[in-house]
Amino acid sequence: MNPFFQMRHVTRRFGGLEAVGDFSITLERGELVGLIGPNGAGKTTTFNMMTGMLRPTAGDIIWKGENITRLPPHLITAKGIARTFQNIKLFSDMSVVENIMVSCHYSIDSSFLAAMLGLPKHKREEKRIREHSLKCLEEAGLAHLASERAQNLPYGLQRKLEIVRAIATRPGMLLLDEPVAGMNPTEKIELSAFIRRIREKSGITILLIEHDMKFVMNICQRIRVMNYGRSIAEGTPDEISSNPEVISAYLGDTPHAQD
Amino acid sequence: MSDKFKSRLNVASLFLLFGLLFLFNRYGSGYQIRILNNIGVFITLAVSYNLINGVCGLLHLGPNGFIAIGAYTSALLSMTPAEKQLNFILGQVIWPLSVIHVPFVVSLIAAGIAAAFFAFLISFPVLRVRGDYLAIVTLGFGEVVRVLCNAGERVTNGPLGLKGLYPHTNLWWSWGVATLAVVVIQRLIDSNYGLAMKAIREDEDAARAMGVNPFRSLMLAFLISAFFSGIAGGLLAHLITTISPALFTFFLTFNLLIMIVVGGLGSTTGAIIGAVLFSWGGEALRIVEQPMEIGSFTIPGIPGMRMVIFSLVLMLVILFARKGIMGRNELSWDYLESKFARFRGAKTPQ
Repeated sequence: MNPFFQMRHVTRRFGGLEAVGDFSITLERGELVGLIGPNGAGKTTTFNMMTGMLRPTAGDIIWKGENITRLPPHLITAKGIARTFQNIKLFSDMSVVENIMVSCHYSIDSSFLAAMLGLPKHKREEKRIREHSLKCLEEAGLAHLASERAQNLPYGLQRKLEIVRAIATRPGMLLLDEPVAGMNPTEKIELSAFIRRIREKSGITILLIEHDMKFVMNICQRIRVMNYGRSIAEGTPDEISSNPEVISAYLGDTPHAQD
Repeated sequence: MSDKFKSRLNVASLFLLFGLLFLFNRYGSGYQIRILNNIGVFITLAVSYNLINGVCGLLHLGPNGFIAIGAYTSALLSMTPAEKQLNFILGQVIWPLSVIHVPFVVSLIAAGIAAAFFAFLISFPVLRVRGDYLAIVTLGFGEVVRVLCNAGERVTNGPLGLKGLYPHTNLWWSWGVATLAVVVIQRLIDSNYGLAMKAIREDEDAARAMGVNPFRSLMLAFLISAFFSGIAGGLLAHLITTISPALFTFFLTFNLLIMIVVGGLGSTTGAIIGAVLFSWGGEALRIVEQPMEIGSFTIPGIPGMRMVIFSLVLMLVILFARKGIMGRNELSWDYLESKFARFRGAKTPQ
């Protein structure tokens, strides 16, 4: 049987630097997996390769039995892999609902000529997209901000909006790049509840990068650890928190310092 | 406001516009009609240019190329074979062009299609780059077209240009095309396609991650913009009745750029305001170049004074309205209603 999502021996080099080396991971439907590691470990590079923003130097990426290694980002999104960004990348001068509506663009059926002539078919399509977007906002509790400009939202809500925008593409897998970075404790609790809710409701697979260990240990079923572009450990949160290799990767390689 | 009421208002304002044009056409002086024609053509040019620079956020510096292609295509197709023979004194025009003669409207459509075809060809190299590099590539394109017009003597009559075109362009043509361009382009901007273009302007990486194909969206904007620029080029040719490569230098692009920046990049209303200010303002300021008498003083007319004042006005606009006159707002019925409500709210004591 085909795995849901798989990276096989993926390597990415930037000149002489090997950002990610021989990295493999398999995700099953509905899993919530954490990807952690010190700064510069290659986590975001891995995300960029999964979403087609970077091409791997070697290796294959398989999504539902199909090789997507060389597909451009917009086609990968259309196939069902959506992402958020480490530094928020909203369409800041557009309204909240317009931000979501962009996510439906790939599914638009009517041609640009229909749009320019204002044909009824296109109007129906626009209506469908707007309603779907408003529904997404409502589920996330952001409906009252629909016509606000995205750049005017407070930081925590901007992060949340980015996640909602990714979900609006109706993905089968969601990649979250540091979803709670820079948030205060209340916002973190709220967001982890939100992520759990998404998962329970739509059953999508979630892979997240995060530096906040409490958040990761709390929410993830399985954790993968990277260091210097290589995978160094995988296991349940308990296994990872007691793994000596992981501790040395985070605290420096001085296991005998206490002697 | 209900949609039905709004569409009624739209129809009413269109009637008002064309009623005014009718009055000018009948009672206005040749000079006034000429300026109005200019305004109409430049509205088309500015609105279609704004689609790329304002909505998609690309610094495209080659619209003069598309306008030139449109102007030459339309002129060569609408001239009679006899007129062409008179024009081409150095060598005869090449074969199919020497016998073709089509009605004005067909030549305009052909002008749009020719410009769009060239836009299609250059969009492959142009859309591979962004920012300053895109500006340089498109600037180069505009120059190449101009140089080719200069060199292709058997097609464009070289530096001599084409003279004695029939002045087909009247108020109905220039304003009819302008209205069509505004309605169609604004519909596109308001649609999901326009949303995708704005998303690319705001953050291309995020747009790609949301399933937007930047190449397709930008190519679409490029083709539509070139199509209308080409048609406007054809109108321009039949308005001034003489075209030569010197007309389509970078200066033309530069003027369009000033129009859309002053009006507000990304706003169709702004592009219209910019086009009107630029085409009409330059003429209206001619009075400052005439000798003036204030009391017993006589100020002699200084040639070139209007350009000084014009530049000052531009500087003031950019200083006090940094995002242009309209910013990215559009003048719509809803916008007017909200402004009016605010105005009334400010007047009534709490």
